[in-house]
Amino acid sequence: MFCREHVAQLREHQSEIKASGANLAAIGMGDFHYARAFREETGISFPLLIDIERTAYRAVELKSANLLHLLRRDNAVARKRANAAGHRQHKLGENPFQLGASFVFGPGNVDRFTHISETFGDNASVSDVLSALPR
Amino acid sequence: MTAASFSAKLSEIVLPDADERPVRLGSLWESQPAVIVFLRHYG
Repeated sequence: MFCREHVAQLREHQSEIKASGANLAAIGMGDFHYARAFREETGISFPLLIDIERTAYRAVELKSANLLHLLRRDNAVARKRANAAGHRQHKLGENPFQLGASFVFGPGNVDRFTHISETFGDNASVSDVLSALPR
Repeated sequence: MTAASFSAKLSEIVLPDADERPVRLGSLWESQPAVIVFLRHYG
């Protein structure tokens, strides 16, 4: 549900991101069938890239959670927040403990913003992402 | 020695999009900024 929450936030600000001249893309695991279903269910129109082998995840050493993370207070807070926004947990992918990240890059190989998730529901705030875009 | 940036580590990786078209990640931020989000899963 946290992915859907984050994707919904990005979708809401997609026109703002585009107006700044930036591209927007998401990277996920799972197969094409899974990705297409996610795209249709979430209504996203930006590119959804598929990383079944987790090549990109490994390249930037994104973190993994474990069962103990489910007991963390920040997880409960994030779950309550996502639930209140109407997001529900759907079928999990093959690696449910893989954590995500948000970046703003470029132009060129320039890192403008980095947020690497520490636990479930630890997504970058969209306002921080937008602030990293050039004006 | 300076560690490679995240963007440099990702730039040459090619992934397919949901329509099975290959995309070199660096092409997304070569000439303009890009917001790149890694999802946990599709759940």
